[in-house]
Amino acid sequence: MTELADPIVPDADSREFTVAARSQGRTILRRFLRHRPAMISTVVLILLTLFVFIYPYFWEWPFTVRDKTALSKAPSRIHPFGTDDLGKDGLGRVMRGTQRSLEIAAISAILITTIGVTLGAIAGYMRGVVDAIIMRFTDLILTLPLLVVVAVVSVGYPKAPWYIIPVILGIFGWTGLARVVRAEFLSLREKEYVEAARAVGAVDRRIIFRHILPNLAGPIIVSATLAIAGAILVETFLSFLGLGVRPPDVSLGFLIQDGLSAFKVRPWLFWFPAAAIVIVCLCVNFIGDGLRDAFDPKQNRIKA
Amino acid sequence: MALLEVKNLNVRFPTEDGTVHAVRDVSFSVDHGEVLGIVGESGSGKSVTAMAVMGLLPRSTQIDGSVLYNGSELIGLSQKRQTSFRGKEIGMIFQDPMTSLNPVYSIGWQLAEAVQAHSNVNKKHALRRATELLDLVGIPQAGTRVNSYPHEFSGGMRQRVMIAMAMANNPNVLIADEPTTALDVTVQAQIMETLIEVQERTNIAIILITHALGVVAGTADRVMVMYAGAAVEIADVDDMFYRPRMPYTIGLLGAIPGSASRGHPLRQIKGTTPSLINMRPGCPFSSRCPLVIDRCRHETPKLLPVGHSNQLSACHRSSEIESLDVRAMFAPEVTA
Amino acid sequence: MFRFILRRLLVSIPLLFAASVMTFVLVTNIGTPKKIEDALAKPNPSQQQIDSLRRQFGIDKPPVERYVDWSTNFLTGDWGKNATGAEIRPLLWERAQVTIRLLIAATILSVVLGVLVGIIGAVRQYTAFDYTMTFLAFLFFSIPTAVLAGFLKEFGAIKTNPWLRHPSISGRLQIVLLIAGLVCGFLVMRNRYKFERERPLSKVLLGAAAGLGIALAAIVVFRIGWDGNVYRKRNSKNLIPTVGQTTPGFKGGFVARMQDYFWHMLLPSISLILVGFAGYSRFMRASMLDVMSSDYVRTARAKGISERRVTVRHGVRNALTPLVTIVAIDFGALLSGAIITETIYGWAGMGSFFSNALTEKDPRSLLAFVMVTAISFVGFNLLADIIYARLDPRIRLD
Repeated sequence: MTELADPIVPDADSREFTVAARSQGRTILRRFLRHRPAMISTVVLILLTLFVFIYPYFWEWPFTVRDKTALSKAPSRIHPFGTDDLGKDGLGRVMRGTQRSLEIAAISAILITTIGVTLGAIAGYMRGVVDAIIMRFTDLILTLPLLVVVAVVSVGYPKAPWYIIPVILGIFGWTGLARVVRAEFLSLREKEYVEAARAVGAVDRRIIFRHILPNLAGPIIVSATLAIAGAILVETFLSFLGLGVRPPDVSLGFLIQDGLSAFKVRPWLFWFPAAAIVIVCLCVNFIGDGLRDAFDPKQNRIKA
Repeated sequence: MALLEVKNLNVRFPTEDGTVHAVRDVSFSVDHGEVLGIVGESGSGKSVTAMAVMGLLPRSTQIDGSVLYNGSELIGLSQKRQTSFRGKEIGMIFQDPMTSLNPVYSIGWQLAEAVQAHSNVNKKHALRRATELLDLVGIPQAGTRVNSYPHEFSGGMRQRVMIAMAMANNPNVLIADEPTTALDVTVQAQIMETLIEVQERTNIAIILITHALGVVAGTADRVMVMYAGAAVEIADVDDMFYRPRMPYTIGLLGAIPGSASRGHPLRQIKGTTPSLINMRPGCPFSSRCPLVIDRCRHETPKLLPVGHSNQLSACHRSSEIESLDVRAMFAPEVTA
Repeated sequence: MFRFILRRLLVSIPLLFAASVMTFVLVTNIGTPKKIEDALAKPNPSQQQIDSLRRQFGIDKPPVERYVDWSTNFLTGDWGKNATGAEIRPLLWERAQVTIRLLIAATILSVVLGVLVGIIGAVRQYTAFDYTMTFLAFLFFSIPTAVLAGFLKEFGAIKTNPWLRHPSISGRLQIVLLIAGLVCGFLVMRNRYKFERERPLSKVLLGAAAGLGIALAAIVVFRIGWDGNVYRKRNSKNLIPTVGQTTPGFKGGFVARMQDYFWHMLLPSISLILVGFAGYSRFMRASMLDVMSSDYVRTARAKGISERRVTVRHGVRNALTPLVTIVAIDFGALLSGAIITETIYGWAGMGSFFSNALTEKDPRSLLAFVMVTAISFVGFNLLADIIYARLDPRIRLD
């Protein structure tokens, strides 16, 4: 991969024949914009996020309020997503649940990326003993099944606020990214241009932040995107074991679990949050795919 | 009738940025036992031309024109007819021997596969033939080496294996696509020697693609120079080196150090090759040519006979070139 | 080879030791076992009863001493008893067998499906088939197991069971089938000729006709051979069960027993297969695309062997190498990955063992579970390396 460089200006003589050379960043952006599923997904995800965060202020049934005149009702004009057995509005709860799930996903993605990149970079740049220690630790965490560890840890904090979930996920979910970053660091630090930077007296910090990390933007961004989808799925798993957010708060995983338990009587309580979670994850996965294609220099594909 | 005749070959690749017109109206022919050198810088369309002849381009490629082998058309053949042709009539060797052999099969297996592709012999027989082939290209202890895997061979050895594989069915034409570019200088000479030896023994016609003029000078009978997807000059090897009639060829010759340039400063061709997307009419070399006139920018020159014998040049001013010192018009190389 | 295995096993000993310590720390942190909590919640808890419970769960000593006790016992094969007083080791072994039965079926099918679809997707890149399969793979990636299970229960069992009792196809469904056949046949043949110079309309129409014919044949076969046949009479109860790995108290010969297994396995294995299929088909497609654009495939083509042979002997053979190791590693990881699936379908496998242990907050069951999965992870990783070395002559294990 090459550095995100300034546009190469072709000299005047040859300009009449060349298509204007583009900068790396703009090429990536252009490739992403052309990736139709990714673009549609971006728009859908943005609209959905705006909707679930803004519309609750205008919606008359907040997720905790009970409509005692409509208990266990199928979707109708007043309650488009139906109500549960206590008369809580389905739409209000799905909006709130999506909010929570998105927040959980965002926090854990940020944590995973930060920890993964930091440890991977330290291991790859320092090498030697530090590297060995970090990598053995990574092996250790990899040996233990993530879902199981997260579940076991969550059991220990029955009264903790909701953000304990993404924190635990962040603490145990960084290993994959750290390995990738470390491998890239090991190879990039030997590259000639890094040697050159070192020769002209660049300090470690400058080399890491200016010369190596920009080259890793691709894998890091892609992995962060996919971590979002992963976190949403793990949250569903935890809710399934009864370890997710605690009532009266709700998340999508919680709503699905709730809906599944009364599936035969009130199927709408299952279908709407299920649709929401699939839409969110599908969008995120497509965006990740689009980003991967955009960052991959081999992807200047021939159109069929 | 020539053994292999390429007429008005055009190759276009559809890409995200637009259609790349990689080979533009290229025509040439090769006779029995002849060695044709194709010279040009990377991206000039030499390899694509070869791949089009072999039918190895991706299916989405648009190929127009005609490739006649012994008078029969190769372009537009069904995939089945194409495979019965490849390897049997035309063999090919590639640039990078390190990646051109399948790492999971033994050398003998891969050679035998080539043998069995076109002749109905059993495995044992094919393996015996494989050993003979390894012997032919000068691999010592061929009998035991035939069971080795590619990773146990050096780059030069692997390229010999590639030559052996291309020769497996005694084809009439061998296309060598930059056979020495990826090798050490000493090994390069050995590989060229092997090629020449094979050529002399079998009288096979060779299309030798390279960007090294020195390689061409020593082996080729005729040379085609390509620039930006077009053939700009075709000539016998001596004419090409001593009486070039195209400014680009002259520029190329001026840029190589060696006996031909002794006593003169080395020259460089300033500028870069034009993009092959959305090319305008006009000579592709006009942006870098010291002899450029207005006509060059608007009218694409045709490849026409010049002077004596069978020399062809695509230059509006080819008739004047002999009287000018074009070489001196290129900027001298500035050395620090 | 032997030395390599030995060395790897020696290296994994400290790793597993560290894993056990870490798990022990995590498990110590989960709080009081549920049984003790319950006992304490009673109006007047008896100290004696609580003490005996603490002894039963092995939490009557300070942590370090507890770890030493647990690990020596664990190594000698005494894994302790769980909350209901059952021996953990035989119980876990019994559960593992159930899980492995499900995993083997699901893994084989998802690998076969994924590999086939991946190969076709790569060879026929950017065709309708490729786009459809790509979308499906992304969809299956994005569906949480719980949602998929709900979906399968609804449409795979609750909606289909009455139909299976009285199978018939409505006129509307027949029309839909016919149109689908027509469109599929058309698309298949159109994509077949996508890159050829001539795109014969006759072939495309022929494809459409063939698709229509297949759909028609299916309907005819169904009407003659299925509609109103034995199923209507014999199958009074629900054919596709949604709960359990066998019918409780089921008696019958070997064949009947296998059938019972089969129908119980249907939904949970589909659930696992779809997710596995998504991953393997994407991986195989990428791997295959990579290989098919490699230099040695170009060499193989230049030899003049048939495109089928190029695809299979050079393309697939080389693309499979990395996939095989992924499958082996996944299989080791799946022992714990099937937790939700098993729990939802009420399978008494590893998954429900874990979720029971978690609800009971039973430290020794959890430890046993994590250690077994960790050992299987290490073991299958080793296996993956050995297979890789077998498949790629460049790799030497020593």
